[in-house]
Amino acid sequence: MGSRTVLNFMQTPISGGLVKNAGAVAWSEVDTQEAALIARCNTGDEAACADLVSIHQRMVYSLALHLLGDRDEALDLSQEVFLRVFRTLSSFRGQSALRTWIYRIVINQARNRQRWWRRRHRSSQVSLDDHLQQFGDVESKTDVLPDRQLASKETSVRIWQALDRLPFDQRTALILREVDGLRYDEIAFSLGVAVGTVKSRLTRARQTLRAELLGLRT
Amino acid sequence: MIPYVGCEYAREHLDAFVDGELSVDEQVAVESHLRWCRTCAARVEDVQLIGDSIRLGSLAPRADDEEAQTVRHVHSSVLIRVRAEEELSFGARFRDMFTDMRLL
Repeated sequence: MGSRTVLNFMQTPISGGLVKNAGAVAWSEVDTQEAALIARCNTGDEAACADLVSIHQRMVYSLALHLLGDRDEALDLSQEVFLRVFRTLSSFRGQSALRTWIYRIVINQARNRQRWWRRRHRSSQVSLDDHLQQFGDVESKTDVLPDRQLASKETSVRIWQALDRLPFDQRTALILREVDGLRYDEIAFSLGVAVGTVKSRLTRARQTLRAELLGLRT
Repeated sequence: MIPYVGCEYAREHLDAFVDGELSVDEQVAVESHLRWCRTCAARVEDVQLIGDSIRLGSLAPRADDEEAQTVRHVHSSVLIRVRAEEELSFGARFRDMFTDMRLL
């Protein structure tokens, strides 16, 4: 299919005709370039759809992987997310950056999936051994610089194990903050909660992980 | 003048302090508290260490990874499925057309 191939899957039949839904909306959080890309996607421009996937696929896969802990599941979820994005893009109103809106879809899909999946497939999640294989052997404590306690591989593995035991919403808030670097208001939009709720979830999550750290030191 | 704040106030704001989410006044107040309170300063270090540990163990694919290549397959897979949906919807429309004709 050529670069100007036009897909019809986002067009909605209204009053007997096909109407584009990228209408006049308040694109307060979307820059001009992004708004133009969205408008092109909403006309079914396949090249624009390909661009949108290219721009966001890495962050979608990465978040899915961190939330589910399984590479195959994360890839599968990533595809589902983009299909969902294209099916619902016409309802996007620029109330957030497109990236944040996509985060929200990833989180909702991951939340639905992990409810049953985590119970059935925990053994295939990324294990401590996989972690160590990826990052090398656990450092000895003497490798820690004397004047500042740097994160060691051992600490990292333990923290991720503790992170995996946190409630989904606390874990997601912390991953969005620490890995993806989202602001509190962006996390709030992605999770569909108030900023105050984000603060309390981050605090509770860190308190739990801090207890894990204290356990490591004793 | 920098306001004095105690441990209770500081601890309520330590996470937001580390995350850079405080107003300038709040940031200055917490910073001044941390200069003399070793306990709260240690808590800040712990929060930072937790963040560093999470990033260190992050599973994000690297650009030169085989996995990064796998991620690129998401791109083609999605477009293939989008086309398949499009074709499916065309098929459905085609069948509907004949359904309508049968009704005639």
